[in-house]
Amino acid sequence: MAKAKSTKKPISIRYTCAPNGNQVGLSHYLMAEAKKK
Amino acid sequence: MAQAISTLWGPSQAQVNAGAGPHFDVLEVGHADYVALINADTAFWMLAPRAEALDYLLGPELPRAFREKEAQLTADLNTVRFGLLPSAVYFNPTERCNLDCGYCYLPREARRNGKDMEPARLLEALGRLKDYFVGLLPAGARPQLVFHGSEPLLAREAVFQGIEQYAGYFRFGVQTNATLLDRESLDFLRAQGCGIGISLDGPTAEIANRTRRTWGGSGVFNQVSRALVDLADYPGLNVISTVTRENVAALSELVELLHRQGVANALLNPVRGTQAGGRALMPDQSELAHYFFAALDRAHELYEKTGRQLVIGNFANLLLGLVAPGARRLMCDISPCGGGRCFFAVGAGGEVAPCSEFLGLSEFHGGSLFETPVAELLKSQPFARVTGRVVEDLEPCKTCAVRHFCGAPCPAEVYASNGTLKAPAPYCDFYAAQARYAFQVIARGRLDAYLWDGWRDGLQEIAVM
Repeated sequence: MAKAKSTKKPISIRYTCAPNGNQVGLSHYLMAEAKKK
Repeated sequence: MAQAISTLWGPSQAQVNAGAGPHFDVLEVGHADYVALINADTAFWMLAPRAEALDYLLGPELPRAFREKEAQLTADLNTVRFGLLPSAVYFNPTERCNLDCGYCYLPREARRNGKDMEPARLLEALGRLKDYFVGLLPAGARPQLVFHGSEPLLAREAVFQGIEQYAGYFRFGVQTNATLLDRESLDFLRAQGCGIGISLDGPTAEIANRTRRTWGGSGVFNQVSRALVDLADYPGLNVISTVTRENVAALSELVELLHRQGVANALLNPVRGTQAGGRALMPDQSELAHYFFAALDRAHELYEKTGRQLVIGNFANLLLGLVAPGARRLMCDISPCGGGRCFFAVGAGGEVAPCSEFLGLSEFHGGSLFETPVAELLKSQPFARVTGRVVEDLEPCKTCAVRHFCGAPCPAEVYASNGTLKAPAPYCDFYAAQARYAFQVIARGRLDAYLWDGWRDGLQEIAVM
């Protein structure tokens, strides 16, 4: 007997970005952006 | 007529999970409808409908689509792991602290009686760091410099002179216990646009004061609460909570407090076992997973209810590790970790280590900022030990499906706990559970609710499936 097709669609998400020297890469601190007054 | 393509390997015409063909692990993610199929080497994954997972593995579509993008996926991950330039510094302007938190990663004697860096010396240090980065990074890049501790505001004069003189170049941050954040300091840091991180470990004085106390034993919850009120509307604010066995059960209440105060960014960092005090306070991994995920659930409920987001940064970073590895903001959950390659740490005596976590482990100091060029320090043998630590060399990481969503952190606590860098993460089970929880978030269509606004800005999609 043929199997019924799931109503769920597969999910796959992947983005890439070019490192530019302004990437944020720390360990135990999160640099939240604030503008200088 | 000869066959063009062998049918030896079935209809997919690709040797899935055999020979040189692509390998896909199947991971139970705890979702009713989905399982994850993962090519661990490239950090590629797809969530397949549970009933069709085998069809995807044995059919032609997945291996064919994967093969088409495999080189791009590999290059993307290799850039994150091996191709980034240093762009940030943790800078400890003093060894001293006015608190005696039980889990600090810095040795107790230094925190009590250690040295400060004089203002002139600090300015010289920032000058040396600027010269290094100007020669390294593209024009216009602004590296980050985070004054960290111990308590950096005990060296306020030097710190503020440095910020004033170099504000046009570095993006500055200050991580503080908030007890010395008087009006003058707040006004200065806000006017300079500095990031401000404050430490708070619990939703009530009774809980927070268990771990964060003065040398005389008094808790500082009330002082931190006042600072939180003063900073609630400041976009550069983030709150760091160190998760220990003392506060792990109260993480959801802590999330409620932070959300109520208007905090938009927080880290819930499981305590590192780099020093004995930290090891003694590490929570049980099952309890940590239970309460940490409950706190994430609570943050999402509050977002749904109010439309206002509290991003839990360390979990958001793991999500980014899944969907956009190169857009990570924190570098603990990838191997090699960011220590010594994306950032490094400078101690109050000018000593340079791969990360603040290593400042208390002198065998990992690369040398002095004042005596050796930074580029040479970063190539030193102690740094190479850390930057050469990859999950492919570790058991059981080398066969783990989520090895590039975990990274087996942290080398400092691994070394301090085991006497070797070649051991898995002390929180191995928790990190695996966290990856499964992250896949659940994606399966539920909640990715954006857990990430920062605009996280896709500047990114390009690699459409595999």
